Amino acid sequence: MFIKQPIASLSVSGLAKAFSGKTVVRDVSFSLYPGEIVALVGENGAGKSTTKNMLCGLLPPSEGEIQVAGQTVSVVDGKQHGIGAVHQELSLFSSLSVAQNICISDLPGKPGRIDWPACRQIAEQQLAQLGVDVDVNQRVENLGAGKQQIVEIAKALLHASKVLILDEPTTSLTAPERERLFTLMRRLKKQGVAIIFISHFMDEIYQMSDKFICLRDGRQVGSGNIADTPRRELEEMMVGRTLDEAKVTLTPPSSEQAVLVERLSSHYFHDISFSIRRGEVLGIAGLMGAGRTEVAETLFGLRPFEGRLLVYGEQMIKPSVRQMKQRGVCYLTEDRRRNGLFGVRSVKENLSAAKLSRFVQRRVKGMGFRGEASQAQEWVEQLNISVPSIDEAVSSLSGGNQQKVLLGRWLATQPRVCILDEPTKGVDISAKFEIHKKIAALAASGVAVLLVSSDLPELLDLSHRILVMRTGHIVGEFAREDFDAVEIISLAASSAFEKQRA
Amino acid sequence: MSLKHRLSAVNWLPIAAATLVACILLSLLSSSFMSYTNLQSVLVQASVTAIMAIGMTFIIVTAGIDISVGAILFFTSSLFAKLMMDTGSYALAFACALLCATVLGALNGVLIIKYKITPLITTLATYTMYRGMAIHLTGAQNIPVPREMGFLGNGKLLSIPVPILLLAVVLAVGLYLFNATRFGLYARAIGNSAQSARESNLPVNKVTVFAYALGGITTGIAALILLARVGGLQSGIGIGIEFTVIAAVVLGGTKLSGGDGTIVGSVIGAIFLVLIDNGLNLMNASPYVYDIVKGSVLLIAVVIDKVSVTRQQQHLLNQRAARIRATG
Amino acid sequence: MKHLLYRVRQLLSLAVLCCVSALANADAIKLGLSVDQLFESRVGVLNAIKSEAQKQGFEIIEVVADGDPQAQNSQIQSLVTQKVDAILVCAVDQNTIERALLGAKRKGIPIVAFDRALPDSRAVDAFVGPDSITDGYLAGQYTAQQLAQIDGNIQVLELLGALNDQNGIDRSKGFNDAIAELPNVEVIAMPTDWDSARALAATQNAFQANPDIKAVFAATDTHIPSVETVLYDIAKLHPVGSDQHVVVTGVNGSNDGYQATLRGNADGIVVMDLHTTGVTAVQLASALINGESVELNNVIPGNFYTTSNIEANKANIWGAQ
Repeated sequence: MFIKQPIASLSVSGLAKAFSGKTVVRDVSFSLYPGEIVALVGENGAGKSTTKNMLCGLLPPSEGEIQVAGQTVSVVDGKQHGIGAVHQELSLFSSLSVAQNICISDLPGKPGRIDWPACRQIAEQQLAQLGVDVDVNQRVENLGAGKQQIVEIAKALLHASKVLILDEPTTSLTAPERERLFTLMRRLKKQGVAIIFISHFMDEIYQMSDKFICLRDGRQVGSGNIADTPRRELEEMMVGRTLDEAKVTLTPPSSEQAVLVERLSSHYFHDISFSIRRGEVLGIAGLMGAGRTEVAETLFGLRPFEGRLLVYGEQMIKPSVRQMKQRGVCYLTEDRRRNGLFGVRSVKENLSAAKLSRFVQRRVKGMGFRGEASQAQEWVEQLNISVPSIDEAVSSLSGGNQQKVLLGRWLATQPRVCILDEPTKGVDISAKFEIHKKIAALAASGVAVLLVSSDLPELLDLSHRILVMRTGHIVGEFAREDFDAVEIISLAASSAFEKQRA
Repeated sequence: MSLKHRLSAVNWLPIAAATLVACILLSLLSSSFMSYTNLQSVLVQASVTAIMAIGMTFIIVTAGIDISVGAILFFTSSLFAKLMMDTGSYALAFACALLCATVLGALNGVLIIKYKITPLITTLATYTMYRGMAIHLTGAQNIPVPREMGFLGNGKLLSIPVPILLLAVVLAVGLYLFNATRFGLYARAIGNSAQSARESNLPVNKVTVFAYALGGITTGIAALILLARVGGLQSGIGIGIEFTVIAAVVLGGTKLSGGDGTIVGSVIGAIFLVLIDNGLNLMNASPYVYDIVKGSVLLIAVVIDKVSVTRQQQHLLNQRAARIRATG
Repeated sequence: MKHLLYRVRQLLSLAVLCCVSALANADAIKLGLSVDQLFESRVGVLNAIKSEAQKQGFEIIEVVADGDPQAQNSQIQSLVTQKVDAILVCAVDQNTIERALLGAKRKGIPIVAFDRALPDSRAVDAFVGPDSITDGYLAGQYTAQQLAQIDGNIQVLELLGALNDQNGIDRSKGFNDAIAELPNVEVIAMPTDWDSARALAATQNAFQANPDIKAVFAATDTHIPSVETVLYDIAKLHPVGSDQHVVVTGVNGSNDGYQATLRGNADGIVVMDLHTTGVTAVQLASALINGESVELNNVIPGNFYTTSNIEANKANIWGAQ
């Protein structure tokens, strides 16, 4: 029987991109049909962003052919070709209204006279099409992360009648918001929109996608149907090696207590008590907004609190960051771009920022950072940071490498207590594995580690114990031998559960 | 939309309230304050900074700043006075002065987008340059302007002083540009995030240059009014006016970080600053207290702003804490 | 940031100065001329200094601080490194440059302050400038005479200069001393910071609050056109001799003051003798270089010209040239 093959919404062959002579992406070829969800997978730095930018018209390709609905085009024009993208960093304007945000790249009316009623109407239509109810006159900054994501999608869909590109759309969403997004994606799929779905979460990819395209080191290394490809096979395709080596071995902790927290309360959490021993990794699981980050920040002296906090037996009363640092506490932030790294400074300087005094030889006042370069080089090698030179600006690195730099910076202070908040967020698999190994080694060397993570497998792999937080309370505690992923998730996500094990 | 959000969108309310309070206070302290002529002269005195503040609002809303406006004002006045003295042609002098003001403003914008230097440093450099150009042009001479120029500064049309009419026109144009045109929306978008604006394909460079050019042309208009009001060019003209203008904009409710601003607020801010001087003049206050009062008022304004924000945040925090405790 | 810019400027000016000094004839006597900023009356003094220096065969190295005390500080230091034979200085701010001046003194370089006195300086060898107290007194004396016939409380508006400028303060002191001769006078003082726009607003507001003001004294006669504007607006601009005339005086000698006096809208102005100031400055420097002792304070009083005699004395008024 002859089945008429529909015309591909978007089809590329031999797509390549070079920046000043250096090829960063090559050999990308695939076809995207209406109503299809294709996952674009690959480690960070594999070329996903560059590929995405070529597909949505932000970058012109250096080589290769792009066909939109059967027509060859040299550069994608999102508006004209019906292709839109939702970028990982939301591109909304916080002080503008929802309607203004949705319509901004194609405003109704004349340039000198915007037709605001029409603008609001378009925005309402877009949102209604997605089946969500958002006040279009509201400023975007008054919306939650989930609704902002939806506004962003509505904005992209204004032109993306054929192809929608979603780049890591779920990273800042809570579980219910993520479900709503997936429902939306299914609805769009039914309407015949083709979706390119970029995600780090394998479970999401397997839940949502029909096909995959796998990139590694700027080259397309595989493609096929998700249903025919076992997860492990796909992961190995991304990494380019078998994952068996990616198992972390934990050493048992000592009995010496490093951190003791009793009845800690603040605006963000209530009545938190736990302890961490030397050499122990204590994981904290929970949804976004459960108060995990706030607890972590409190332990680093960033927030005021009530209750008792002891570090190696010493009670800390209204501690400052300085005092906590002096006691060997270090903190790796969740949002590295905003809180952690000095983007335009070099890798070297970022690595040594937390412990400058270590490198300063006061032979001549203010002169000589002896050993800064050699120490930085050592860390770069130990953590396998891929960087042309330690004098490169940090902002030019990929997410995983940035995270490694941040980790390296704190490890350079030789800490006794290490607080890690989402240490592998937005990090590719091999970098993640290296960071995991480093954390395990850190614990083995006697450091007490507090690990806050939304990545449950990471917590399960790395922690000796896991605490579960929900709306500012500890609602559960699991020892390693009792780890139960399903129970942890249901405890964190459900509101019906009460404190059972705490 | 909730009433609270609706009110928070009217970001010039605080300065309007403060101005109202100042008016009530002054009318109690000085019998001559609440007269038609005095209120009129307050508006006339505020017109120069208010017109400049309208242009500055567009610049600050793109997350920029232009501290060279005082120098642009000085250069424009110098050029106008010089051309009037040498040629006697109003048409030529007006055209050249306004054109030049616009070009100098736009030049700031071009330098900022082209070399990606922060606006503060760029305009600090052009400030020195423009002032130097002006002094070079006139040889630091004072140049009187013809008597009939006074119409622009002190004349009346339909029994309304001309500077107030000019302010009203600039205000109307400014409001229209800010609220009804793509330029106004894009300027706010750029102030929110220049990167997102580029990703959304907005003409970032064009809008930025246009905003600085607007700052230039409003400064040009202000320069001509000022020149007409004081009757001639003097080398002290425009020194320090940029700080009054920026203070007016910020008092008005425009965020220095960009993205959010209000034209009406900037005008009220300029009026508010004039009220302080006017009040002190009317009360025959000691010459030595002026700066103290002005500084204190600015400080109080900033502190109140900060306190209200902090209190709002504190309220939200307390609500959150109560919720958390309730679930426990 | 400002600091950075200032550093760049410093380097640039240093480079320029090095070039200049390299070209200079090593034998000629060099005078360092450090100026606060350029405006009309300052330029008048500078021109006098330059022509006198030329007459005596001195070279001049001129630096302008553009109102920035830090810049002036480093400019004076660079004058010292260029081994000038004397420094003529008009200070932006006395305290900031005192160290640099003391440095020059240690090197044996004589220092002459002109136009702006440095009353507490330990470095200055001589000062030449206007006799601002007398200048103010002359205007006050005239005003008092004109108002002597009036009974009852008399209000007089005084437009002050900058409150941190010694000349402004002294003019005010002189004016107030003279006007105090009248038993029934009330002086309403308004700050202007030498800014005409502020002077205009202040005059407007003052007449708003006190419509019966009988006289106005402007610390600089460049403010007189602003006063004329206000008087015209409130229909009080009557020429000298009219019954309702408001007495207007000022100090300086600019064209603004000259024209207003000529028209009769202003009664008269005290004209500073910029030429003598400039010439004396160079002569003092010359004497100090030759090791002669000089008077520490050399003040050049101004001359008061009224509507009746100002045209005849046009040649003595620097602004009217």
